[in-house]
Amino acid sequence: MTRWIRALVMATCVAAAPAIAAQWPSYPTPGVPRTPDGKPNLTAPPPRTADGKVDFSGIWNLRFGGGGGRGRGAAGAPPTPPPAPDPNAVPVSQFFEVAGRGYALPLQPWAAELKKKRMADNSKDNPDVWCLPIGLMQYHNHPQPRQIVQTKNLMLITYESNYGLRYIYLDGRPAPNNDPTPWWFGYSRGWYEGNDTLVVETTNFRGDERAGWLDVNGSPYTDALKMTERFRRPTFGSLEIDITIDDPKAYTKPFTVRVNHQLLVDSEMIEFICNENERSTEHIPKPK
Amino acid sequence: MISLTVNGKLYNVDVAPDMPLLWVIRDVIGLTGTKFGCGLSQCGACTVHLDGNAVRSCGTPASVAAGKKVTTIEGLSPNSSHALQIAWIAEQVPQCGYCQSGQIMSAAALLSKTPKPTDAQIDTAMNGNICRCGTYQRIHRAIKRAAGVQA
Repeated sequence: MTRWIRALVMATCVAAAPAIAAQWPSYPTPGVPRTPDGKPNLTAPPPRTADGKVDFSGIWNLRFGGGGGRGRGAAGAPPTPPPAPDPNAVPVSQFFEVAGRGYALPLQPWAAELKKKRMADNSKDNPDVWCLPIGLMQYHNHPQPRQIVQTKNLMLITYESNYGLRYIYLDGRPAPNNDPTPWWFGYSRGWYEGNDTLVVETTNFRGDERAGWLDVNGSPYTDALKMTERFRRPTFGSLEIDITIDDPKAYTKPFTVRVNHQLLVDSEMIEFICNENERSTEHIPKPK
Repeated sequence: MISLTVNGKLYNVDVAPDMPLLWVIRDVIGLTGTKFGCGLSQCGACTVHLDGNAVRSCGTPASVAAGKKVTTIEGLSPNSSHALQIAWIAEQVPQCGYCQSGQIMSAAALLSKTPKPTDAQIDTAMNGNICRCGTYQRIHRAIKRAAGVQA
């Protein structure tokens, strides 16, 4: 290598060093209302579609708990504790327990036994352990973010965890009544109630032992599950989803939980390829 | 030049102020117990203590740690005798182990402020630490064991 090439390589490395140290490029999210000092105004009114409906698009992070924020300098803030339990309020859902601790799930006896067994087995059959789709409730509660992309007739939710991709049809189609193939993500259809609430109904779940986990502790669901989600975006930066679990095979009555998300701005989704160099599952007895 | 105390020892490091603290800890000082997971404060693998509070070192600029006390997994106890480390072994928590130093540091921060946490408090404190192998049940049990709380 000639001397000038060495010098060029050195100069290139030196020039590149600040970019490497910066680690995480800053891409301001377009369309975010900002205060005069440039900070996102997350209490501004929510965005709306051309026909006046609330638009739920954005990258959403778990509001209570979670990693304290993504990006440079955002990590110092401790997790926001959830509000004190209110017996009259909708229970706040959690990653570990679908209705939070302290709420007695109306489990059918066999489902209670199954959950007990799953916990005793250290949740080894949780689809998350096997790099499989973790189910809509675990996706809702996972610390890794999710991105909603809304179009007129279709809403997509991409989940960073285990690279999940969910389709929610907004075109008025009926639920499938002759589909022999159950879905890991279920079959989702959505419609608006008024301009502010998007109701999403999901059926046709694959609710077997492999897929049917509502939370890390193994609260089960079956192929009888009908999940009804009510999406609201009270402000630009907040998302509330009330989710009703109606699964008469696993639960004696329906129950409703709430998920709270906050908007993640000036950031982006990253790849999470669970199966890359995966060396864990060879040490775990395979699910039956 | 940035001065910071890591595990009780003063270091003067010649690094850019915005270098992630994790890089200072691992690459400059040479303490590799703290892990790089996602690199953006989302998974908890890089958790250390900054003046006793759990922070994500991959998203914390070195300048923020200047003049402060940083504790890494290596400094949690002089001989791996912290109650959590003992409980971790007793419960055989780790599988691949990659996330465990971050898990333990988050748990240690919890117990330092809440010595007898409830299940819900453990859930909240640990919700930002992801374990790809799914050892959450054992992590939860180990924290309760370390706290002397009935599992």
